[in-house]
Amino acid sequence: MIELDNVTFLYNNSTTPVLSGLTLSIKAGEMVLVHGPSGCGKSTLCMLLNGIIPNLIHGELTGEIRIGGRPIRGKETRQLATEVGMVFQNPDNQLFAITVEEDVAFGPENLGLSRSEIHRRVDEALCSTGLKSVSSRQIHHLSGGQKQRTAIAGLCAMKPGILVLDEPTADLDPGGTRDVIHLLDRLHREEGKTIVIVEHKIREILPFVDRVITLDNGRLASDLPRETTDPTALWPGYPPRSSSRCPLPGVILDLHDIHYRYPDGTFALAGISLAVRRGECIAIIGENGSGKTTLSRIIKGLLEPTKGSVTLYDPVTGFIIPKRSGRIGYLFQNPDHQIVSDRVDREIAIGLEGFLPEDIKRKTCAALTHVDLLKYKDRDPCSLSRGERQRLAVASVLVTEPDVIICDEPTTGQDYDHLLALMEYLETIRCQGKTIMIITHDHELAYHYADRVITLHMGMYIKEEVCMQCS
Amino acid sequence: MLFEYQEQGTIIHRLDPRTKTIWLAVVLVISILLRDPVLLVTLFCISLMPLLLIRIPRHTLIVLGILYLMVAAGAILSQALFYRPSNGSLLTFVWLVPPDVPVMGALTGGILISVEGALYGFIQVFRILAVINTSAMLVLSTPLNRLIVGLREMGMPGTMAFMLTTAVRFVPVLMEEYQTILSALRARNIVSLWHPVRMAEQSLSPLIINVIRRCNQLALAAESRAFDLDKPRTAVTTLAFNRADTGCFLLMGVIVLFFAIGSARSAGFLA
Amino acid sequence: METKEEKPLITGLEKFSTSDIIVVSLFGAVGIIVGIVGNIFHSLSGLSVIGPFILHTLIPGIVVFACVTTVKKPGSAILYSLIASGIAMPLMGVPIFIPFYLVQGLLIDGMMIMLKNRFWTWWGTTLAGIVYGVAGIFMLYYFVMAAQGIQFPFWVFCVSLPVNIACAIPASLIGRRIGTRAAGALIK
Repeated sequence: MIELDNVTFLYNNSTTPVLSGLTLSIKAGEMVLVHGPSGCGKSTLCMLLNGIIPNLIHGELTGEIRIGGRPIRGKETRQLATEVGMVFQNPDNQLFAITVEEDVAFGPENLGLSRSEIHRRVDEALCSTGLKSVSSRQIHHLSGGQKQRTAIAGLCAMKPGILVLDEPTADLDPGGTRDVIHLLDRLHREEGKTIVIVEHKIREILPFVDRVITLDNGRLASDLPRETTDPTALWPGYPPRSSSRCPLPGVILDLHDIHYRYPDGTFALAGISLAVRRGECIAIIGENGSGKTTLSRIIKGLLEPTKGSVTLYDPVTGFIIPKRSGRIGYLFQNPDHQIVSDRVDREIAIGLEGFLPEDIKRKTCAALTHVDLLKYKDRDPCSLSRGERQRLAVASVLVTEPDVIICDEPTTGQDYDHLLALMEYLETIRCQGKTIMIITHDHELAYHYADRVITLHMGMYIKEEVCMQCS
Repeated sequence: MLFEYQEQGTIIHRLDPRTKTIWLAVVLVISILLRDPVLLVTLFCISLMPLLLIRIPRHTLIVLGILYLMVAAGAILSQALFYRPSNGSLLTFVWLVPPDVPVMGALTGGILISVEGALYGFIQVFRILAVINTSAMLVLSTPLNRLIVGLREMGMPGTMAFMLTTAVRFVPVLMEEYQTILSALRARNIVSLWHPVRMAEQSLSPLIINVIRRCNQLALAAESRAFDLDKPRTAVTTLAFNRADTGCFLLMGVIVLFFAIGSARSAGFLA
Repeated sequence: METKEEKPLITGLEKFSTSDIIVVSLFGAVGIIVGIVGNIFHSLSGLSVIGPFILHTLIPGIVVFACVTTVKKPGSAILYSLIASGIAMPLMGVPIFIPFYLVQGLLIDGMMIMLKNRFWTWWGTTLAGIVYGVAGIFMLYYFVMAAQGIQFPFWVFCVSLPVNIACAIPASLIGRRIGTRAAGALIK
C-alpha cells in the first residue's frame, strides 16, 4: 500500500537531511506506529505521504514514494486527498466549518461531488465515528476528543484508504485520547483502513498497532511487530530525580475554604483548603472541568474566590504578603500566550519596570544565561523553537523572583524532550527553595515530580497523597 | 457578543435567512430616507413586531434595554448640544450645567443645551432603534452559518462564503485565546490602562503571531482536504423559501409602499 | 504556501493563494472580536472623549495594517473589512457601520496600489494611516451619523480629525511592525 524507496529529504535552508535513505513498506490494512526522538523525521515522513512535502513545504526530495503501487511524485496534496487522509496534532487547526456535519461535508464539497452523494458520505462518516448525535452541534462546543473525531470523520467522508495521524492526541486529555484511539482501532479492524500514526502516548496506543517503526536521525532504527516490541524500550518513563524530595519547614501558602462560582451560577470549587510548604512541589490533578485551573488562577490572584481566602507568607520573615500576585509566577500552558515582545531581551525586561536601567540589564542577562538564551537576546521570540520559547517564558517569570511558581498543564502539546527539559529546570528551581505547583492531568508526571498529589473532582477535594520519598 | 442566536421554533426562526436579511436592508434604507417624526415612530413600532415574536432571553432583554438607554442618552444629549435647524429658526436654550456649578461650571463657563435639539435627538432615537431591533431579530433568530448560506444564495462568491465561515468558526476560539493572553498580561503585572497604545500592542501581537501559526496549519489542512480555489465547490446546504416567506415579501411590499406614500404626503407631494 | 494556479479574487490585480485566503479570514476573525469589544466599550465610554478613537481607530487599525502587511496584496484590506464588519456590525445591531469599514479598506488597498512597494516603508504606511484616520472620522460624521439623523457642527469634525489621525498613525505603524513579524512566521 505504502512504499518508500531510498527516500532522502532536505528542508530548504538546512544542511542536514531530515530523512536519509529511508526504505520501508506498509501493507494494506496495517496499523503502524512511528516512533522516535524529537527531530528524527516522524512528522516529515507523515507529510511526505500526502504530498504536503514537497508541494507545500519545499525542499530537496530524492528516492520514490508509491501509494497503491503508483508513484506520487508530481501529484498535488489535494489530488492525493482521496487516497491519503492526514490528521494533525491540534484539532482546532484543521476544522473549517461551524457545525460538525458541515465540517464533515467540507472535503466532499471540495471534490465537487453531487449533493446526494455528499449527504450519503457525511451520514456514513458520522455513523462510523460515533458523532451522529452531535452532528448539528457547533464545533466550538465540542470537547478536544470530539473535535479530533470530527477531523477523522471529515477524512473518512473523502474515502481514503490510508489515514496518517501526526500526534493526534498530544493536545487531548486522557478521556479524549482513549476515544480517539478506540475510533482508530475500529476503523482499522472494521473498515480495513491502513493507519500510520505518530504518537508519544505509547502505553495507550501500543496494544492496538500491528507494527512499530522506530526512526533515529532520519534513518530506520527498527521495524518490529507489536508482539516483539518492549514498551519500556519505547517509553522509558521519566528519568530518576537527582534531588531529594523533602521540602523546607514552614507554610508559605495557605488556602482556606476556597469556593468559586462562575458568573452564570455554576460552581467550580467548593471548600478547598490546602497548606503548602516552602520548597515543596505539589501537583493538582483531575479530569477536565475538575476546577484545577480555576484554583490555580485564584491562587495567582487572577480570579477572586466567592468565599474563602488565600494567604501568602514571606519565606524569610513569615509575615503575610498583602499583594501576593507579584510573588507568584504563573507559567501558562502555551508559552506563546505570554510572550509579548519583539525581542528576547525586551521580553525579560518588560517584567522589571521600576528597576534602574543597569539593574534591568544585569537581571535580564542573568535570566537569559540561566535558560541558555543569551546568544539569542537580539532575536525575535517568534523565530525561536517551541522549546526555546518555553524557556523564555520560564525566564520571564523567574526574573521577577517569585516565591511560588504555578505551571499550568506542562504536558499539553509538548514533546517528551521539551517536557523533560522543563521539568528538570523546575526541579532545579525547587531545590533553590522555590515552591512549585503543577496543574496536570498526567498522573505519571504528577506522581514522579511532586511531593504531594492533590486530586480534584467536580471542584471538590477528593484525596491527598504524599509521595514515597517524603513520607 | 450583544446578540447571539437562540434556538427556538418561532415563526421568525423558521423564515428563510434571505427574507430576514432583505428585511434588514429594507429597514436600513427606509430609516435613512425617512424625515417625518410620525413615520419614524411607526417604523420603530413595525421593527419591534418581529422581535417580539421571538422569545428573547432575559439577559438579552437587559442588554437591549441598556442599548436603548445608551442610544437615547447619546442622541438626545449630542443633539441638545449641537443641533442647529437648517431654516435658521430660533432655539430655546436652557442651562445643562449653570456657570455657578463648582468645577464643571467654572471650567466650562456653563453648558447650554437647546430644547428643540433634545426633541430632535429624541426623534432620531427611533430611527437608530428601528435598525437595532431588526438587526437583533436577524441575529437572534438565524444561526450565522445559515446567514452565510443565505448570502451565498443571494450571489456572494463561494470563496467569500468560505472566508466568512472560517472567520466565524474561529471567533470563539480566538476570543478564548485573547482572554488567556489578557490573563497572562495580568499575571505578569504588565497591564496598564494608562498606556492604551502599549497595552493594545502587547495584547494583540501574541494573538496575531499565534493566528499566523494557526494559519500555517490550517492551510496545510485545507489542501489536505482537497480545497482548491480554482475548482467550483459543491454547496451542500441550500435554502428554499416557504409560504411564510412569500407572505413576508408581500408585507414588505406593503410597508415600503406605505412609507413611500407617507413620505410623499409629509413632503407635500401628495394632497 | 502557494497553489500552482492562483485565482484572482476581487481585485484582479494580485492572485490570492489558499494561505492568503486563510490568513485574511483569521485576521477577519480578530477584526470581528475587536469590532465587538470596541462597540461594547464604546457604549460604556460613549460620552468620554478619547475612548471611541482608541476603540474604533487604534485597535482595529492595528489589526487591518497587520493583515495587509502580512499578506502584502491589494484586495486584502477590503476583504478583511468585509469579513470583520459584515459579521461584527450586525451582531452589534449597527449594520450602518459596514460602509465605514469598507471605505477604510478600499482606501488602504488604493494606497497600496498607488504607492506600490513604497507602501511598506515607514512613511508609506504612515501616509496610509493618515488616510485611514481621515476616512474614518469623515465616514463617522458625514455618513454614519448623518444617515442616522445625528448632526454635528463642522468644528467637532475639525477637533476630532487630529485626534483620530493621532490614533491612526501609531495604529498603522504598530500594525506594520506586528505584520512584518507575522509575515516572517508564515510558511510561504
